[in-house]
Amino acid sequence: MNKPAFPKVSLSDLKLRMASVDRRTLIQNTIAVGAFLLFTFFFLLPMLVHNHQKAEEVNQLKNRLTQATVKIARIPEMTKQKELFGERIKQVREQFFEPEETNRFIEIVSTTAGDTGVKIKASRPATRILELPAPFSHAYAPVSYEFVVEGTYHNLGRFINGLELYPKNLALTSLEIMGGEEVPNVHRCTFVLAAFIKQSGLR
Amino acid sequence: MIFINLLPAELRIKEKRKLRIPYRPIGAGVFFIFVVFAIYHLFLYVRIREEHRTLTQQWNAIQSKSVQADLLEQELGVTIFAEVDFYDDFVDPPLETARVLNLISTLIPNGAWLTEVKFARNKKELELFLNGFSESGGKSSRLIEIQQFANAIKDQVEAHLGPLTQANPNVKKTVKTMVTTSSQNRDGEKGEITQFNATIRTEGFSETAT
Repeated sequence: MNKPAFPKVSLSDLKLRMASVDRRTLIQNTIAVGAFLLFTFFFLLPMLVHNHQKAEEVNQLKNRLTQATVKIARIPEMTKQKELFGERIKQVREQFFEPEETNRFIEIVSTTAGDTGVKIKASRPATRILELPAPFSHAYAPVSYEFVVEGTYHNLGRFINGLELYPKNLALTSLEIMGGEEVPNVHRCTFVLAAFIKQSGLR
Repeated sequence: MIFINLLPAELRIKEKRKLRIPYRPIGAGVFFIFVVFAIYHLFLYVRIREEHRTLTQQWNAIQSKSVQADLLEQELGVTIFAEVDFYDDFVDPPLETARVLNLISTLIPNGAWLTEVKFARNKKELELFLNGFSESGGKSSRLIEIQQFANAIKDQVEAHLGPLTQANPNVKKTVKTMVTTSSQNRDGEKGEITQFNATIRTEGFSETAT
């Protein structure tokens, strides 16, 4: 069986062929190809690029709208939280010791102990230093003291409660109550109390 | 009439089947596909522009509120929550020590007493250690009471613990309880006495406590 012969195209053949083609047909075909190329390069390709870009923008807009809608729906809740926490922040900020009030720390503990029937047996600066995180460490400095007190469980509870409810920022970081061995019902309590003092020149 | 080719075989003109490529139908097909492709993308172009316009209008309508929400969220997250978390950790913890002491005295079962109470906190982590004795109340009921006492304290502590961070108020620390007991006969008296240790601590305490 004979193999099909592919037409051999050379430049000279093409010239010869072009010379033999009707000029009118040649011009018509050239215009058609030109129009096709113009359509492709000046309309179709820019439209494809534009579609691609706009589709990405549409997706971004959709995401932004979804996120914004969720956030907007949370505005009342966030406003409420802001007010709630704002009040607490205001209250706590007012309760920090002023630098000149540092000396009152022992006085406050002593007075509270006296009021609640607890005896202070010993006190000393705490060995463990409370490290505050930044940026609060620049604004406040903790002063910690270790106390040993004695009293009944009920009085110790009142004493601790009195310290924690005192209208200045006092925080109890550790506490140990041992059973009363010498006098029944009188317990020995060792605790570390920290007072928070405003750093001068800040806030 | 009969034609006879008298040329030798190697000089004879071989007739080969000419390949006929249907240029016109192929061209028309490609053109058709091209036109369909172009029309489809023109349709997409119109649709995407319309969608883009609608979404832009919606975005413009809520943009100011979105900015307000962003500012509020930023203010809460960066400043307010951080400050409140700091207060919860160090200055003003939600679970006061006095409340813990009160819980212990309220929940301790009859016939039991404590010889040691230790309470320590480190930021949001805390540990409560109780050491005490309980008089025997018959078989295993004392052990159950001690376990219930520790569990009740754990439940109350968990209920009063603040969230891990104010930014996500639903996530709280897990509190665990561990109770050990040992019983022995009383010297010269009837019945047994049970010594117990109960440790109630947040899950991360041992790693962070110093």
